Amino acid sequence: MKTIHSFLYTSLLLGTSFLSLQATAQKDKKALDINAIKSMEGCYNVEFKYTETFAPEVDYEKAYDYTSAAFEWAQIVEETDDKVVIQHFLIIADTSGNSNIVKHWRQDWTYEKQDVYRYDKNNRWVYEPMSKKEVKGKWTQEVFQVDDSPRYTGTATWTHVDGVSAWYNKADSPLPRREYTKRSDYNVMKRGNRVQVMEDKWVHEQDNDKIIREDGKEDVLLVQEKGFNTYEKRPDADCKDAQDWWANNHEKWAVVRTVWEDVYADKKPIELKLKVENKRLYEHLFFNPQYSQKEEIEKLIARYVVAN
Amino acid sequence: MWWRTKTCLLLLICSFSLVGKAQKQQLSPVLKGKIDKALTAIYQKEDLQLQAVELKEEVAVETQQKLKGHFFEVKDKGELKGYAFVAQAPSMKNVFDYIVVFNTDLILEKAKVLIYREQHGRQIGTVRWLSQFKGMDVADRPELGKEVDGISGATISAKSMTNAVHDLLVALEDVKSKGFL
Repeated sequence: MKTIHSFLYTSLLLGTSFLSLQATAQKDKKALDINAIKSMEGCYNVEFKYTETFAPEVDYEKAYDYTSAAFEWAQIVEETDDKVVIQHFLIIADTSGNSNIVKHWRQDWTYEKQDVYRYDKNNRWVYEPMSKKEVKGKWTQEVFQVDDSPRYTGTATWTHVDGVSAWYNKADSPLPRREYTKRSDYNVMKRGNRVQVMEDKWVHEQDNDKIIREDGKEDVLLVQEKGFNTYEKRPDADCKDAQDWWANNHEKWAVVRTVWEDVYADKKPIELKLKVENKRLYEHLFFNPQYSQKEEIEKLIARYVVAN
Repeated sequence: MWWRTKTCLLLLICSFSLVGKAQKQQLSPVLKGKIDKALTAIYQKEDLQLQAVELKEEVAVETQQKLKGHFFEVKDKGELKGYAFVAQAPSMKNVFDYIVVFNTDLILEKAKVLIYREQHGRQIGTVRWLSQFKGMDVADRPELGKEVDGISGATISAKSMTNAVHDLLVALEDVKSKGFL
């Protein structure tokens, strides 16, 4: 009897210790994840490179390579235990040496997020919730346009090996900005997103599929593409103009984010018009001072959302 | 001795079969779609019409055989924009479809592989390699390794495409020299 008691006691002790160790390990892992995500904040020299690689059809003529460079500031604008929001800004120097700041893309990282929207096609996103099991230990990256409208969403696990934190997933998305107005021979980009964070830089490597998607038909692959975007850190002070710009403008954009959150909360498919009054949404939000209060912004965004 | 005769006969049947395939091709909807797409890209116009060129009896028999049913006028609402030759040529184990487009002066504007049916030798479809034919006229006689660079791993198809353009230019020179184009 004594032996049985002793066995049960030891088992219980071991079991409790194991669970406690597991919880600690999970907590430590999450801390490493957050550290990697947050280290994307900073002032950067950015290089964008894209080249088309393999096409299934022999008559496909590959597009020219795309290369570009930018000077960018990325700032954490919201943070909780389970969420980090990073806003990117372009800093463009004019001929007289002044800096023009352009609010650029935004990435939201959320831990174990179940409510997600996936891109379907033709400027339409659909709500596709995930189970607790599917998102366990994973981070969802949501990428937004310059006007905070949706672009694409992916969920995956961060890994931390040999001084490199990495996260990889595949996500359907609209055409990238560089091809948005130039291409009509495909309508969905299936992005292979590989984010690799190192000490003084981070790399956004992509293996993309350019896809033709039609209702009731199998996706057709037009061509594949390699993307290699590098973010090399420079002193934060170099990006002071962008930091100042955000200090003066963050309140308006917090309102814009809230309005979009309300749209997502409906969990209905979201289809967006490309233009209203012959203008894209960002043109209204960037350049029209009329849109600074929540009520006006709500009305504006509602005009872009196609009623379902 | 019997096996030699049998092998020769088999080879003969195979070569006739390939030639036959190349000669009697029909424009399938897929091929037609690819031709339309290629012409639209070249002329930056949609809804171009292809009209088979009627060859006069004075043209050599070989020329007739090469061009008949494969050589077209490219027209935009009745206006002649150029000429197109659509045919098949052998790759290593199959045949591929290609188009060669000329301007109204019979200067080669573009050669393009439309359908390729095996993995080996697909490199002949690259714009960079095919652009070597651009600008040739009916007097040119391209040869692989001379006017046209070869491609490692695609020797058979590269030679086949080069020979196809070579023979096409010979045929067109015959037609042109007799004043029919």
